[in-house]
Amino acid sequence: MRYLFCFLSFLCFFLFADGERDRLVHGRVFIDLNEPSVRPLFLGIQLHAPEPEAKRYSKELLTVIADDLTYTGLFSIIDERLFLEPSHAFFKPENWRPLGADAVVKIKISLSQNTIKALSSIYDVNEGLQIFKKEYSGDINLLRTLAHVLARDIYKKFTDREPPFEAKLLYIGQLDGKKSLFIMDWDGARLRRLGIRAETIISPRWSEEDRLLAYTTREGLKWAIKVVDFNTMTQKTLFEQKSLTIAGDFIDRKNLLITYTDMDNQDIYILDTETSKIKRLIGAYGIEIDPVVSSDKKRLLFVSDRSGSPQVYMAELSGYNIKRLTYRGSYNTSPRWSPAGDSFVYVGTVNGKNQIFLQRFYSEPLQLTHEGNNEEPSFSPDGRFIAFSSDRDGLWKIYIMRLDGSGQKALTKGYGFSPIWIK
Amino acid sequence: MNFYLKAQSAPPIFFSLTLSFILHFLLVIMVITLPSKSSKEKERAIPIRIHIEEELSSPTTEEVSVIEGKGDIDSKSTTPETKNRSLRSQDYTDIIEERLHAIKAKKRIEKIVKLRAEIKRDGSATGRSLLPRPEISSGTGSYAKEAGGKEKSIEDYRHIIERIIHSNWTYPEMARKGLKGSAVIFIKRDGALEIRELNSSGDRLFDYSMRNSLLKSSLPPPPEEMEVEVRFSE
Repeated sequence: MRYLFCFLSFLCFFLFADGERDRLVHGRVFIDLNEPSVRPLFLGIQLHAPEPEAKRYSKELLTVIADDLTYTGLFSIIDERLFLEPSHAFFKPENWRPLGADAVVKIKISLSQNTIKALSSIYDVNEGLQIFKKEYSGDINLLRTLAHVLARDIYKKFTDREPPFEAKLLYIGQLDGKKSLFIMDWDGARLRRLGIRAETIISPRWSEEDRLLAYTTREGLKWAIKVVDFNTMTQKTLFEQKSLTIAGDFIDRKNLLITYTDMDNQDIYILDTETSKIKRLIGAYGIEIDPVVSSDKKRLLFVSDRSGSPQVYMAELSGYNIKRLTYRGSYNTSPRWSPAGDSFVYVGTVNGKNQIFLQRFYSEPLQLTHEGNNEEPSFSPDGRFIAFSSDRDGLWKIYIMRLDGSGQKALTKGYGFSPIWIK
Repeated sequence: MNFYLKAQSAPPIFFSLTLSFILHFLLVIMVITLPSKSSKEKERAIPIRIHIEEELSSPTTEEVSVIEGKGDIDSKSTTPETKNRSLRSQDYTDIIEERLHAIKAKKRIEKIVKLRAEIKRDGSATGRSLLPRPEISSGTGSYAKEAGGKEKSIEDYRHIIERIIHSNWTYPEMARKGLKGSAVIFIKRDGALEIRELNSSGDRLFDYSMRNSLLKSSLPPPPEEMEVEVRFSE
């Protein structure tokens, strides 16, 4: 009986005491914080190769991973000479906190025949926990690819975004007095050449979903638009003309936007890739060239001189609703969409030199380059990097920079022009 | 038990709490002071006492600090022993002690198993920290005693922890801008910080920076246990 009374009293207590929680909510203290200190994530990367055969690959693997992550500007890799914990030892947060580390990546590699295996574990120092573990394996000849994949997963763990580490850059290069097409890793390594040569090559354009490359050549008096199918590595000439004709972006597999000259006037047309028939899309009294399509295939950017000078315009894919976008400067060309479709880059002339500008819609343009001439900008697939050509060194080379214009560096030693990204 | 004394908000809540307390207290007094008629009744009284002991000796700090410094667990477990001594004979004291230790050990094991399972599952683990809480040096408690009242001391404390958390909040230059998020934390009597809620900003890196700023912050003991909402905006 007594027990029952007390039990009931407890129930009552808790029923009423629930009001206590309300009181806490009403009595909650608030703190508002703005402007964090600027600091990248401090990352410690350790490679453990217990077998001597695997050891000699450690340095390259580590360098590629560290360079990828550092170049994003989000990470700072801690110098391994500061490490307190040996690479084979278990993770202990107290070994890393004095270094200011936010996270630690421990990679164990082993080699068997021609296969390299890697076990990557990521630890959060502040939480003191392991947060990631994954095994990888691949042919030893693809060591750099493995490194980029390892770096990708580290990047994704902290940002939940895809980095461009595995992407390639295709560009126009020189070979024996003629032009050719080259492909390299996003960091400039593993340069290879495509078996294509022509007197002049311009305007390479890529369709990611169909893996088609369109480009334009001039041989003698003839201009030609060619398409390479990367699935079969075969090429087709789609269109030829004596007057200037340049490939623009793919709308889809069947339709390619082109610049076509009709009676000394350039306009934007759609080229049917199967029938080679053309149809005019945008044309006015002046010159319309350089059409580029947004990722969502709804809008296009192009250059027109209808206002009296070359400026960047936007239109719906139907060709209607034409709006002028650039108002600064008297010569603005080469527009390229960001993958998100919320901004674009273009080339504007400043003090007689060409510079690259970034413009978010309804905002002021931001000048990203200042040295030499800088042209043909191209956004990386994740939208955080821009590849471009620059002659600041006295020779046209391929360069890369971050979205805010920082980190500008050359990727090629020799001639390179018009880079585009290939995933 | 001291929440009743500082109810500042809604009078209805204060009233219900007081009523509840009074009712409860009366019943407990009834049970304790009524003369025991038989040993059977004596035994029935003991379960109630354990119930109370359990409530007092299993605060939320134990949940978090299972793998932390043993100091927390050990210091808590001494409290019920002193209470036991004053109530019944030595036999009952021993039984109660044993039961309490068994309950604690069981909870500890359950917690370890749960954390291990979380780690194994996908290589990632949820929010609870395994880091030992830093030793909070005393020389505090001055907040409660300050002249000018409770309001002022809470405000002073708020200001201090705001600075500490802010100084530990870092974010990369190249990361996405213009983000906002918040976290609800609970600050215990010893200044230990428990993250209760994290309202995502929609960006993982930003969320990570919010969480880290809290994990890195070691706070002095507060004038009273409090829930704090920290709003981060870049």
